[in-house]
Amino acid sequence: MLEAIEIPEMSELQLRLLDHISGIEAIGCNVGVICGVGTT
Amino acid sequence: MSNDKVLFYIYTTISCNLSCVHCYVPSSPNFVIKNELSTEEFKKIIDFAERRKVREIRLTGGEPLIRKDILDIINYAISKNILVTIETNGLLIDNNFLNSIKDLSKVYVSVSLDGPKEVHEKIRGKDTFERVLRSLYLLKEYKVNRTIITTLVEKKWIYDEKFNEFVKLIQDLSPNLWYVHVWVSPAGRGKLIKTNIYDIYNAIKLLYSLRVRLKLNIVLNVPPAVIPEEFTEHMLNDNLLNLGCRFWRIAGFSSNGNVSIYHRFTLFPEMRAGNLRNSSLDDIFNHKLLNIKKMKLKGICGKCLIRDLCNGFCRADAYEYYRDFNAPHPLCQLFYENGLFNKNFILREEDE
Repeated sequence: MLEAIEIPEMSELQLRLLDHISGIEAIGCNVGVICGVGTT
Repeated sequence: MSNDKVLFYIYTTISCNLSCVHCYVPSSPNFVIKNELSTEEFKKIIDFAERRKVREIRLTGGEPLIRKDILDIINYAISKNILVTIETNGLLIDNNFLNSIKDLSKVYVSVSLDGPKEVHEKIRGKDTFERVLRSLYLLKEYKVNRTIITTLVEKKWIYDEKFNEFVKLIQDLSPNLWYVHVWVSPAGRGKLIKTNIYDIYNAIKLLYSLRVRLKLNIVLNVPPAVIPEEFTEHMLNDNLLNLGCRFWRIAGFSSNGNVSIYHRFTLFPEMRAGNLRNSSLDDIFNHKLLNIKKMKLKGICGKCLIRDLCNGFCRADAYEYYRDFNAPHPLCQLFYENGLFNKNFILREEDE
């Protein structure tokens, strides 16, 4: 969805974070999970 | 990236039996919009959802349960094998309502509980706390999939003993998920809520440490990059990090038929792809505003490690705050400007 950019060098911690978070589903897309605020 | 919609998010009505201080729409008992969608128009949306293989409809408001035809709508969607999520203040949930739903396993209910009695009622009005508790225990008894939503309009109370008691109450209610809004969206009456950015930071810190310590299923409605650096190692094992929603896969409907990407964009005329009373849904769904091709996120979001995963978290919050679809998420940007953004998430510091 985003335009490609040059990816700079990442630290080991950043690589691990990226690796872990890449495997997580966007929770707002899970059935029944709301993402709005202040309503109802 | 697919623009096929998986979810229809629908303002069933803007009317409400409450007038919460932070509501992002102008709902209240005195606010009535004539000309809201009829039952037949709702069924038309559901038929279209079935045809498009949409897996879920979310009914929000206002208060969805004040619609007299709400059971018709819910049961019609269930008959089409579509999951139904209901966002409600919980006041109108009773045995009769639950017994009238064809298949409760296809229903998900999100109920707002904003704190102990004095906190909840300061936000939602007198005599609302016990009523919502009754509903939450009823949902537990009926084993309905349920989320408790807590919005921290004020934050001082979470440092008191009463917060520990509230956590015990949540544990007793045993929701499938406890969804905590640390940040009030800058929309509707929420614009009037003034929150110090450091108060938000400290609240995130407290709640995240509580989650680590008690292993609670708390989902914080904040992007991962604003979780304090000291928790970075924990985040490497955290599957409840919140990456927002895939907004381009959500179609939103206003209660009078406007259609946009994600329901909150129906509130902005320039973001509407059409109105189902004037155009066919097929035509509306071909509109470019429902088919997002690319984004170029600005500010801190443009140089965030997880920008391709988080996608700016909530585009509606960004649009409310900056009137720019590509603007950074306001919470991330404010954290960054105040030195609170988790530096492990910054990719290209030198560009700013």
